[in-house]
Amino acid sequence: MCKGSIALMPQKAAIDWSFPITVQEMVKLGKTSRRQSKEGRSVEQLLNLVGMAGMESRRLNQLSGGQQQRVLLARALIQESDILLLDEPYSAIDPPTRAHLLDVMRQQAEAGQTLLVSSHDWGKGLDSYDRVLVIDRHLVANGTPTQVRNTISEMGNVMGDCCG
Amino acid sequence: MAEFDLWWGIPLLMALLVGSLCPAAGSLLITQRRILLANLMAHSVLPGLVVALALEVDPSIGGLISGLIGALVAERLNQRFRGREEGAMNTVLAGFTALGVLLVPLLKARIDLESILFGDILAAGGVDLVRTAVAAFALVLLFTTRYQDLVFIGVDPEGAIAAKRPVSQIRFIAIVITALVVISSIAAVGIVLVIGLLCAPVLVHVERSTSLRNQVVKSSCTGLLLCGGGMMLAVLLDLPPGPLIGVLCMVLLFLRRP
Repeated sequence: MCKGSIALMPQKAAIDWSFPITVQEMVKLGKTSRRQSKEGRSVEQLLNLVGMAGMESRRLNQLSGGQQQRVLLARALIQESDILLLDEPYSAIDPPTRAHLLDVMRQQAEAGQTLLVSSHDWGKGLDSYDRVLVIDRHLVANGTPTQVRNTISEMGNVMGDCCG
Repeated sequence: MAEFDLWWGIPLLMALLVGSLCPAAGSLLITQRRILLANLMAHSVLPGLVVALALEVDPSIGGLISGLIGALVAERLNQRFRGREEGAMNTVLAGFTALGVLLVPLLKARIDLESILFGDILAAGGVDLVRTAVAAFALVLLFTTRYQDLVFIGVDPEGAIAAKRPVSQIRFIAIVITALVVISSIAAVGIVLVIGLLCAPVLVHVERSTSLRNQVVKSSCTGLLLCGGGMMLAVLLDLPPGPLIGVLCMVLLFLRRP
């Protein structure tokens, strides 16, 4: 791993899902950034990790919303960056996919990767994070999930709804 | 007899080359959602062609410069009218076409507008063939050296920028090569058919292709059959090849199974 490298898992809306490309080729695109080592995980290993094994030759537009999110995560993971930035990873996905993504992210964090997640929808996954920042134009709360929940409830703010 | 064969050979080769080249360029443009830019460039070459003919220089040089200026003007206006780019581009397209028509009487240029619109493939010569071969070589070079980047920019332009890929440079090179393809093809098949060949063979395959490479190969083969077959049919029916192939492009879309 190179120091300070950042990989991005973009919002789904940033991708042209009608582009003629297979799952395998999409994940390989992550390799065009010249950061990763030669010993890194293969496309097959990463697709297996995100629960997409056997779908290598499928076209992107043949996938469900949740499967598309998993492909984006695999593409970000293949870059072996120090920091992984995830932009709205939970948008338009079903609860099992959300749980799976969270599981993979937890494994990455345990392996030493720093994860920055931007989301409007935390749900029950809030406790999975070490630190939470709530921003509503300005910084509203900053701390551990418990501290943030307390801050929000003390404020009696509608923001409390977002923190489950 | 030998002269007869040669006379047929170059137009046929030209038809086959243009038939495979335009859909290859069109694959790139349609998957990157830049086909309107190609349409604009195909029309923007007109003022340059007229000026070049009036100055008695190679029309393709004038057309190339004019096409690039059209693309640059459109890019500038796109930034000013963000979110309404199509309107801005269509205005530039109309403006450059009108300017070309205005320049004909102003510069007293001897130019056949009908042949620019529909081309005259039977009159294509060795110079046209070489010009088209150069454009084909440039396109193949772009595909072979920058394939991964072209895919990245097509499927995830913001991601390509974030990954520090040379997005602006590749887009500029693609614009220049598009201008080369358009200019070299216009001599043979005209503006109208260039646009038809950039789009129709691509649209037939775009939903079923599994990669950009696959898309390019399938579209080029279809374009090649379309042009080769269209030209033969035109000779058989004693019709002008350019307009006939243009109509066949549209028929092809109707015949495509959903």
